[in-house]
This record gives sequence, C-alpha cells and structure tokens, in this order.
Amino acid sequence: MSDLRKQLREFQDDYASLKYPGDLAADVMGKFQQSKGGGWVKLAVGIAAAMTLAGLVWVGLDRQSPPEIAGNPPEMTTPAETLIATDDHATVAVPTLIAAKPAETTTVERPTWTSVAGSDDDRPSFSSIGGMSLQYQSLSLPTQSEVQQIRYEQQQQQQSVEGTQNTKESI
Amino acid sequence: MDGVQDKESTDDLLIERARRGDREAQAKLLRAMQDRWFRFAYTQLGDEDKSRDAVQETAVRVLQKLSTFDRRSTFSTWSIGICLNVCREQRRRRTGRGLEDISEPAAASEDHPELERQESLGRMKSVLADLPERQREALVLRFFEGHSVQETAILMRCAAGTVKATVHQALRAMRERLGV
Repeated sequence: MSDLRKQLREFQDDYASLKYPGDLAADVMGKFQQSKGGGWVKLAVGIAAAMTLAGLVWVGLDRQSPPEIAGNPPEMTTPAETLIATDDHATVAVPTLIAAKPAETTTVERPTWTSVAGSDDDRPSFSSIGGMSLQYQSLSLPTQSEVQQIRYEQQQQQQSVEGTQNTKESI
Repeated sequence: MDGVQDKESTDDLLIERARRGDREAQAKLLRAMQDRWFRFAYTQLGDEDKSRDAVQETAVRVLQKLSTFDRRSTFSTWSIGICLNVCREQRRRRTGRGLEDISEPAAASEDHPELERQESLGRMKSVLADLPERQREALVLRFFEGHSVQETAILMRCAAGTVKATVHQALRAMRERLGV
C-alpha cells in the first residue's frame, strides 16, 4: 500500500468521525416552517390585493354616467283620420293608429373589437366596451283612455255604416 | 460508508411520508443525513460554523425541493448535490479558500504517536485545502463519500471522463505536496 493511500485511509477515518454539532431537525424545522408560513402570508396578501383592485374597478365602472339617449323624446300624436269609401259612395272617417316615429333616426354604435396584442382571438377590449354609447329607439303606445276612445269611435262608425246599409235594403 | 445508503430502499417510505409533509418523517430524514452533509461541507469550507450554516441551508432546500425528487438517483446522492451547490455559493461569497483556516496540530513527537497522526492528518487537510475546487470536490465525492464515477459526474455536472481525469490530477498533486 502506497504512503498516499495509507494517509488517505487515515484521513477517511478522521473524516468519518466528523459529526454535525447538534440536532439539525431542531435547528431547521422552525426555519422551514417560517419560510413556508411566509409563502402563505405572501399568497394571502396577493389575493387580498387582487380582490381590492377588482373591487375598485367594479365600483369605478358602476359610477360611470348612464348612457345618453340620442334625439328628442318622442311626442304623443293624436290618431289621424282616414277616409274610407263605402258602397253608397259615402266617405267615413276612420281613425288610424300609427306608431309615432321619433324625430330623428337613431343609430346604435357597434362596439369596436380590438385584438389583444400577442393573441389571436378577437375579444373586445375593456375600453371599447366602456366607450360604447348605447342608444335606443322609443315607441309610442296609446294610453288606456286613448284605446277606449278609439274603440268607441270605431263602434259608432260601424253602427252608422250598418244603419246606412239597413236603410238601403229597406229602400 | 454511512448506513443511510444501505437503508436507501427501506427509506423510501420515510421519504414519501416526508414529501407529504409528515414533520416526524422530515425530522428523521434530516437527522439521518446531518452528519454526512456536515462532513462534506467541512471538507469544502474548512470551518465548523460555516459548515453548520451550509448544512442548515441544505436541509431547508431539501425540504423545499423534496416534491421534485424524482428518484433518478438515490436520496443521499441527490441531497449531497444540493449541499455541493450550497457550498459553492458560500465559497463564492468568501475571499478565503477551503480548509486553510484549520489550525495546524501540535508538533509531532516520537513519544506521542497520536500527535504524529494528528500532524499527518493536519498536513492532509492542508493539502486538500490547497487543491483547486473542482479537484477537491471530485476527490471528496469519490474517495470520502464513496460515490461512483457516474454519480460524481452527475453531481459535478460533467462527463465521467472528466471526473476520472480530475481525480487523477488531484491525487498527483497531493502526492507531490505530501512528498510520498
């Protein structure tokens, strides 16, 4: 056996006699739990921050002014009368109910779809939805009293027409 | 050789329990490895306090990375790899080198064979400390830790041929410096 090998063997024995001074588990487990706990704290803080941010965005969107209605409010129109020719060449005025048209033609803007950079899908960006102004057309419907009035007038006219026909037949 | 490697197969259950967060299993695992990590760190850093710090850092990393242990190597080899990285990081932070801080033993005397042995060991440590880092790592992993050439290559992240050549250079350097 060479001297080097002999000295290496001796050193190996000395090396094997080295011991960790203390209890590693006791020294480390506390640190490890702290580092693990620190990770959970960071995660919890991150989630709380994200929720707060989402809440602020939600409140901000909710407080935006309501959409403006374009054009003037429609005016109520009185039913027009239409002249109907009868068999005896008489003309009868018949009210017609026409839905009032708004003064101006209203348009609904289409939202602008903008691609998110780096992605292929064409999902709308938040700003394009927020910037969209909503407009709608309004329809005018007759009130209950107006409907009753119209029905009454129609009945009166029908009766007068029937009366005329009966008169003609009797003649 | 340490008993840990012999019990490697039976320790699988312990490792699995430790992976699942069983604190008792984790403590057992650390106690089983603490001396081995300390020995290795001591040969690399040459200072008891620094070696203890390195071992504690190794233990924390082992527990953190236990879920990534894929059993391609034994647990002891895998954990020594972590210890090696910790020691390298500590060496980078230091200006001093290896084992040079170790105090020389008292002068030998023919009447005191134990002192003569201590002197011989002291010289050995000194020579080991003077070796380049890669040669010291290869020598300790191969001869004192008992890893195969292949395992040493994995731990040092180099080819098996490089390990053989590095160990050969280290032995030649030691022979020259010890005059044997």
